[in-house]
Parts: sequence; structure tokens; C-alpha cells
Amino acid sequence: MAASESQSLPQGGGDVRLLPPAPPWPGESLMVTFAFRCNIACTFCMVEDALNVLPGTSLEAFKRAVEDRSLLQGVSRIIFSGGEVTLAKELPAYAAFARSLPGIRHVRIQTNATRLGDRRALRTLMDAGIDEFFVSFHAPEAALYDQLAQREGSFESILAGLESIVAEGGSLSTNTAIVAANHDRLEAIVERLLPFRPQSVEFWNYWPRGDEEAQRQMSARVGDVRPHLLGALRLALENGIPPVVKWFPRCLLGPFARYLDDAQPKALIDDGYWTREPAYSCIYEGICADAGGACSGLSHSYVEQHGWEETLLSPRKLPAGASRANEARVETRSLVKDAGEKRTHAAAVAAWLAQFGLAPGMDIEGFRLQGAALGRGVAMLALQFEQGGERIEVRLYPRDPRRAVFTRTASYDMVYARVAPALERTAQRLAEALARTIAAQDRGGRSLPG
Amino acid sequence: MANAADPAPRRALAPLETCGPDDRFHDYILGEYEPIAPALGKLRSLNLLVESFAIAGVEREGLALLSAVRGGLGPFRTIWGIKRHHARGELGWELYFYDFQRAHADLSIDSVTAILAPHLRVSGREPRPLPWHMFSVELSPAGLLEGAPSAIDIYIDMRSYKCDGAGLAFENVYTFHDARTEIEEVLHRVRSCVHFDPSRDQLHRLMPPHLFNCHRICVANKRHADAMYFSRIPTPALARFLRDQQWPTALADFVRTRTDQLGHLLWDVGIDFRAIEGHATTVKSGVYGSF
Repeated sequence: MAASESQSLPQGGGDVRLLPPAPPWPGESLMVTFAFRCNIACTFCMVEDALNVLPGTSLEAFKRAVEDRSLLQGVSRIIFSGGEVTLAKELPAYAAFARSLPGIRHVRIQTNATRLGDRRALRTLMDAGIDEFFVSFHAPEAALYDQLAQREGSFESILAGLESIVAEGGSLSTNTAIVAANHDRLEAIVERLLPFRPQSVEFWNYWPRGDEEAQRQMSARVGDVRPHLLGALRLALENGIPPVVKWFPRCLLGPFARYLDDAQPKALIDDGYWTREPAYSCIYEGICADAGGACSGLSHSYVEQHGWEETLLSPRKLPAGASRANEARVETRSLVKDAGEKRTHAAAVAAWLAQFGLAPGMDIEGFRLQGAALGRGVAMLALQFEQGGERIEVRLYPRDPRRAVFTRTASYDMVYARVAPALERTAQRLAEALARTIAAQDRGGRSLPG
Repeated sequence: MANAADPAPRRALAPLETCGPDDRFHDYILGEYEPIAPALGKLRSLNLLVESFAIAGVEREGLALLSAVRGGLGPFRTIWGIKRHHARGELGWELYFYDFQRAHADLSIDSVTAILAPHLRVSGREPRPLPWHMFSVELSPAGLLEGAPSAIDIYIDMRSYKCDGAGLAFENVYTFHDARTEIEEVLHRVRSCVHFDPSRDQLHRLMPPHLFNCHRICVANKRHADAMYFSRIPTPALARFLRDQQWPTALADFVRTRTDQLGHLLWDVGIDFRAIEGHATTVKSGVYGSF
């Protein structure tokens, strides 16, 4: 990384020098999920309900999926995740196939590393093509780790795995889930990881998939987490390790906000997985310039447990008269009646477009986004593009696995309206490009405007 | 509890009403919305009202009243509300009649009183022509079964008045806010409610995420309570609301087990809360639809 990109940390960060954020790996990665089983039982597991239930992506299904080369467009990394993929004896075969794909420069596994202390097994995986190891690391010492993982001896196994990865020359990065039990140990976690020299350390605030009503009581209050998280980020930066933070309010990160990145890679995973994806909101999302793409806010599960944090969070307001990119002006409201469907729909569509970085007038594949219209009597959004008199309409529907579509994102089914045969391929390219743009921000659970 | 995949048995004897090609969909201020999923052949919101009549033992009387309103005013002009009085666990209802522009000759307090007369004795009457944009008529089991008189509420500007006989009593002041862009006004309004103590009460108990994700929020100050209303919430959020507010299981299950058949609809809900032993406590909750 270029030293010139570093800069001194302003107030709150002391004299530590900021590093450029770690490369944004989700955007250049395709995640393939299989092996939905695990040898530990983390109390905050985000796939707990999928373990021993979801069949996972078979190697044959993976091969079939990538026959559509558009799936690999812009992808330089294949990630295998589950479950604990090192439990699958077919993992080397998956890795070898991934390596054979055009443009793939890295093959990563997301793992608890408990089985990687076995150097021979690790070597087998690396010989098959796996070069990156994204290791879950949730506590700095055995007592807490084993409590979180609900398996005695987990911590020692993981440390052995980390040592092996480093010794064998694997690229290591780590992921720490922030939960109530470990929220005040984040600095100690970074301290414990320093000898392994990870490429990056990631802190994922509890992602409550399957815990919609906070029955686990797993979240730590963001106000309690904040000093420890900032301390951990500072420690990582002081040691030259770029950190990543996910699903934490941006307004609480101060000078470290640049390290917040909620993106996830596109994934081959059973559609059923997304039905329990957690929803996020911020009470200030309508007035904060960072809402949406730059900050997810708080999970609904968190709000159920701790509330909206309306006195702690602070919206980054736009200057008077300014608006978020592409946001329609909201007219003065009436106190006694709705100001009208046209206005509310226009504002809703504009806000919807903005969350994906779309705006009227922008060019995609040489076509200009001319307008957007909500379906009448059907949940559908039509995006209308135009170029030199040629018109193409791409329609988005809520994702329904039963629907025949041209392409999908995590939340939407997409088709393009019938066009002349000469325009068919252009319409396809346009729809694909639009899908990529939306998919970059769409982790599922998004709705249509209005 | 009924299985989510298996529609819960109904209490109402009347056949379910389904949406036709000309159905229109309104929120509780008669603002029209597009259904959020294909509606043809799916259930009308009115079915929930009829089910509530049946649960309260007034299905026949309630249906007769609805029939009279539809016959007198035509379809898709009237808002219905079901109320749950938490202290008594009793259901009540209200019908709301809108005419923002006062452009409809057939819609007046006198004309609606006449339409309802065979089924309900409306005691309120307009003392003089008032600049209302809406009036409502309360229904109770006693009113439907025994002819107990029903007052009317008259809504003028951002206030409402209870009208019993020719007397008017101030009832309610309310404001509507965009749930997102005007959240600071919502917070100000809630924090200034006498029945909400920001140092003790938690906002998310009144405004949980599934209600916050609505179209507009209304904050009201009434004589004996404060209130919040949330417009255009989807059916799963309604199901959660009914569960949280401890509505009759049969009614909650009617919604919970028919989310596919009701999934095209948006609903409006509200809660009245009062400080009881120092905490904002829901004393009444309501659900609204149109027919």
C-alpha cells in the first residue's frame, strides 16, 4: 500500500496513521456455499438454522453455475464457506476447479481453522489451490473462546491452525463477531493476533440472521462496544494492519468510519437462506447522508433488544437545500392529509435508486436512465433506458425462486421488456450491468419502492 | 396456535370477499395506494373486520351495517377501524367518512346518519355546518345489539371533537409526519407527550422497527392518552402487531396464517398510551382498512 495514501488520524485517533482500507474483496469475489455442518457451535452462529438442513452447492451445481460466464465477470476470487468447509472431503476438488476458472487469482476459505493445525491436511488444501484463509477469531483466550464456541479445546485448535497457515505461507485475514460476551475484549483480540501478521482484521457486529426478535440477547450495546472497537482499530492500524468493520453505525466510528464496509460477495446459496436475512434500519435514515449504501444502521433485532439509540446516534445532515444524490425534493407536508401519491412515489423511487448508486440521467452500457415507473396492481419497478431513440425497459420484481427471469440479485428478479431482435443482446448486456450495480449493494431483504 | 401453513379456522359465517379487477386500496386517510402484490382473487381487508364482528358476536348486525354503507355510498369510500380496549379486552369499531374537498353531495353527517339509522342510532349531529374533512361513527357491541346511541367525531384541520347531541367536546390534536424525512418532528412530538417519559420509557416499545418502516407516522394528543399511528405497514408487520398487542388469538391467527392471501395489502395501525405507574402503557390499539 502506498505510504502517501496514509494520513494522520484526526481528533480521537491520537497519532496513529490511517491506512487505506483493505482491498474491497466482496466486490471481486464469488462465494460458493456447501458443507452446512460444523464442528463447533458458536452461540451467535448466522447459519445455525441451515446447519444439517441446507444441502449446499454441489460441485456439479457449481460447475453448471459458472457455465454462465457472466457470473464470473469481475470476479478474481472464489470463496468457499458453509458451515465449516474443511469438514468436506471434497474441498480440494472444489478448490482445484475454482483455480481452473478464467480470471481467478485467489481461492479463499472461510473457516474456524480448527482442522488446519494438521499441516498435511493444510498442505493438501493449498496444493489444490487455496491460498487465502479467512479465519473466525472471537476471543483472546481459551475460556471465553470455548464458551462462545461451546466446545472445549476450540481455542487451542484454532491457534494451531493459525500457526500452520502462517508457517505454510497462506494469506491470513480474520473475522471477529462482536457480541455481548466479547465486546470488551476486542483490543485483546487484536493483540493476540499480531504475531500472526494477518493481512486484515475484520470486526462484524452481530449479524442476527434467524434471531429476528433478539431471543439470543446476543448484541452488545453499540455505545458499550464503541471504545473497545475504536481501541482495536487503532491497535491494528498502529501495527500496519488495515481493519474492516461491518454493521456498526458509521456515526459512532469517528475517524475510523472509512473502514466501515458492509458489502458481502455475491453467493451461490439456497434461496431459503435469504428469507431470514436480518433487516436493518436507522431512526435517522431519512435525514442522514450516510444512510443506505454507506451505513446500514442497526438491525431490527438490535432495536428489539436495546432500542433505537436515538440519543446516541447522530445523523450526518446535508447542508440546507442539498439532498442526497438523486433524492427527490420532498414538498411541504400537509398536516391534515396526505400530500399525494405522485410525490410520495417519486420520492420513494428516487430514494430506492440512490441506495444503489443509480440516478436519472446516468449511463449504463451507453444507455441513459430515463425514468422509473412503479407497476400498477403488481409489485414491479420498471427502469426505462434510452439511447438515440432506442428504448429498453428493465423490470424488477421481488425475488421469487419460482419465477422465470433473466437474472437475479439477492432481492430482485430482473427481466427486460421485449425488444427487436437486433437489440436483444444489447438489452441483455444492459440488464446484466444493471444487475451488477444493484447486486453490489444488495445483500437481500431489499424491497421495491413505495 | 394454528400452523402458519394452514389457514386458521374462521369464526365468521359469511363467505370471504376477494378482490376484483376494479378494487381500490386506501390507507386510513383515504389515500389510495397500489397493492404491493397482485391482488386479483386475493382477500379484501374487509374480511378482517367481518372476522372481528364474528369474534365479538355481532357478525349479522355488523354485516347489515356494512351492506347499508356500501349500498348508500358505494364501494371503496369508507375506512373501517377495529379497536381493542386493553383494560377490558373488548373489541369496538369505528367507520370514517372522508370528503377533503367537501365535494361529495351524498356525503354528509345527516346522510350517513340516515344510512345507518336502521342499524345504529347516531346521537351526534352537526350544530351548524362545520368545515370538517372527515367524521367518524363509533360502533360497539351494545350499539349494534341493543341500540345504544353512538357519538360521532368530527375532524377539522388537525383537531377532532366529540359530538354528542349538538354538543362539541375537544377530543384530539394530531400531526402527520413522513416517517423518514420528518423523524425529528416525530421525536419532538413523542418526547413532549405527557404520557411518555424519555428518561423511563423506551421509544422502540411504542415504535418497533416493523412499525417504523411505514409510510407516515401520526402523533396525537388526546384528553386521556397520547397516541401514535403508523400507516401502510405490510401484512407480516400487522401480524406481529396483533401478537404484540395481545389481540384475540382467532383474529391474530386469521392474519398470521393468511399472509399470502393478504400480502397485497397495506394496513394502518395505532396505539393509545397512557402513563401508568410511571410507564407509557398501551391502553387501546387499532387496525384500519377500507371497503
